[in-house]
Amino acid sequence: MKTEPMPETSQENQQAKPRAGMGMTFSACVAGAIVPGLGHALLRKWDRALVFFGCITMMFILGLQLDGRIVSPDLGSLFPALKFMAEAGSGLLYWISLLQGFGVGDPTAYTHDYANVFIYVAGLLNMLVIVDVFDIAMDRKQ
Amino acid sequence: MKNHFVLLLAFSILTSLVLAFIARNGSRERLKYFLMLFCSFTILSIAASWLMYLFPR
Repeated sequence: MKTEPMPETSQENQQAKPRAGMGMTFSACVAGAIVPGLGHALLRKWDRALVFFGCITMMFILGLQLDGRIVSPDLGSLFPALKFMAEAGSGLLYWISLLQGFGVGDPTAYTHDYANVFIYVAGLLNMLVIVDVFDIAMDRKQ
Repeated sequence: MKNHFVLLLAFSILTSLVLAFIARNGSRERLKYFLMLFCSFTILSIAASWLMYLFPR
């Protein structure tokens, strides 16, 4: 019996050819890592871009306002490195705050611990947002 | 603003909103997921705080 070659499935095609192109995918991910929501804006997902920018920026600024501490880059030991990576996930927000001397933090303040959590979670959420940008650009989700 | 419950609500709203937009498509689905996450954050945090209250240091 003669067998015909199997046609490529649509899923394989999607994996091979990202909807946005490799350059655009890379640019969107980098833009999202620098400014929360900018990657979605490049992919013309305006509603997501607006929500991500607004929420993540607001969380970060609330963290600063409530006496949270911006940690300086330190990869020497585990916990400071994890704190740094979580905060640096916010991209430009973190680096501007660090370079401008914002976020000195007051450990005796009533809201210090809460504020730190706001800053960490803003960075971690932005990392999830970058994964979302990648998935959209690769046409894995709408 | 320097009230832990208000901060809990602010944290829950912002985080739930971002997660709802990441995980769901469509306004209705997002709203349902947002409400589920928001209620979970708030209610479970209060429950955990009462549990800690029962076991002081």
